[in-house]
Amino acid sequence: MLGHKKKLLYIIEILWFTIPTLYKIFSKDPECASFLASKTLNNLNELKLKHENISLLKIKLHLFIIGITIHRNDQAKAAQQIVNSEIDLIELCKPEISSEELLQLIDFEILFSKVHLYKHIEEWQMIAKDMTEDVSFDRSEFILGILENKCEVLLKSFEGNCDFEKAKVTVMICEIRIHIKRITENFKDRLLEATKIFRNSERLKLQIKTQICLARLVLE
Amino acid sequence: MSYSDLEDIFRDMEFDWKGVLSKLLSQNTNQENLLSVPTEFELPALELKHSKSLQQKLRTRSAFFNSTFRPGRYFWLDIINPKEEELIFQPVEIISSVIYEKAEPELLDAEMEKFEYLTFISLSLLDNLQKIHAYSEKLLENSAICKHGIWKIDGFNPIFAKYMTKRFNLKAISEHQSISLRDLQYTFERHDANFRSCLNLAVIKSILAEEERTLSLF
Repeated sequence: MLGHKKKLLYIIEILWFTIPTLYKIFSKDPECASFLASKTLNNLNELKLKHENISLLKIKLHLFIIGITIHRNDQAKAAQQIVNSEIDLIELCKPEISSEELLQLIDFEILFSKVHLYKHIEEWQMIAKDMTEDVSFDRSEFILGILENKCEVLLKSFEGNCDFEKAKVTVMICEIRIHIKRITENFKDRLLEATKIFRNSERLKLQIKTQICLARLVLE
Repeated sequence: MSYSDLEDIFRDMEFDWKGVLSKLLSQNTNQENLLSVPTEFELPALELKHSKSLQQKLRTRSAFFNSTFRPGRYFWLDIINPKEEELIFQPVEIISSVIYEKAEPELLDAEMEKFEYLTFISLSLLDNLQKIHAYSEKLLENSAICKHGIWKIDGFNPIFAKYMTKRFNLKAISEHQSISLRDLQYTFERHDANFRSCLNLAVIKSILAEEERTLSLF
């Protein structure tokens, strides 16, 4: 029989992350999910619960806020400030995580989020017509560099299973390479592998996204 | 909580919740204080335009209400029927705040049960969203919809293990085989106040304090 405190920890570990997620999906107010995630983080800080899983929950909530901020069409500068301060807070939680594998995956998630931030900033600037074609081309190269030299290297050194993360990186690399017309036939097998991973995990949207990449590669 | 929620919660327990609740309602409210059975005009969210005839609907509804509970405003509880064949039990706010001012251990136990049940509901909502492809994971998702890497729920979490054995039986999500996005949205909206209440720090602190108090007795 679990004591209340132990049971509460197990519940918080799940429920305090599923609640902000549900509001992200169902709520008509886009600010609601972000507000609830911040409220949850405040609660966790006030309760001072010491447990590795609670530290991981805090990290997930910070990443959740980053995800919402990046997808929200805010001003680029403001978004960048929020993302940077959330990353700083994640860094403060990391020493409480002992698992090396988990720390590696957290680093990957931070890096992958940053890549998306750079991608979105580029899109906003292109919309604003503040940048020329060439600058945009450089930015794609810059993002590609992070994906291939940092994200992929990090995942290659990972000993556990990270097929899903690898598949996401593959799709993003291919999307950029198609955009800058530097895609080769070699990526076909990697995309097929990614399709298989998304299909097995029943991630329909990601599977379709990958198949579109595959079709564009064939048409190039 | 809805009628189906309560049926879900007490399914595995030998506890006559319907009997106890109806006794509690009649203790606190004289029969003459009960609202009369609402007329069709008074019933909210009545959709009579569609398939069934008016008579058919009235018959079904009347049988359902007369089974144990009638919608209305009672001393400490509101029973409402937002849609056909469904009852929602909503504690009166002022009564709740008085009870929670100095929460008894039994109430805190009940809160724990509520948290656990809402954990199941939230997981089930997310699983069903995935199942019917109503919401799909983005490349950058960072939410509880993800099931890989750091997002995966710890398999040793006993609450999650319990959910895995129960998840296909949650009547409160849907009694039917096919679930629509509308069903899920409706379930979410019905539990909006419940979900928000799970972030109420005062209750959590009371539970933790009560545990410490109990442990200090030994």
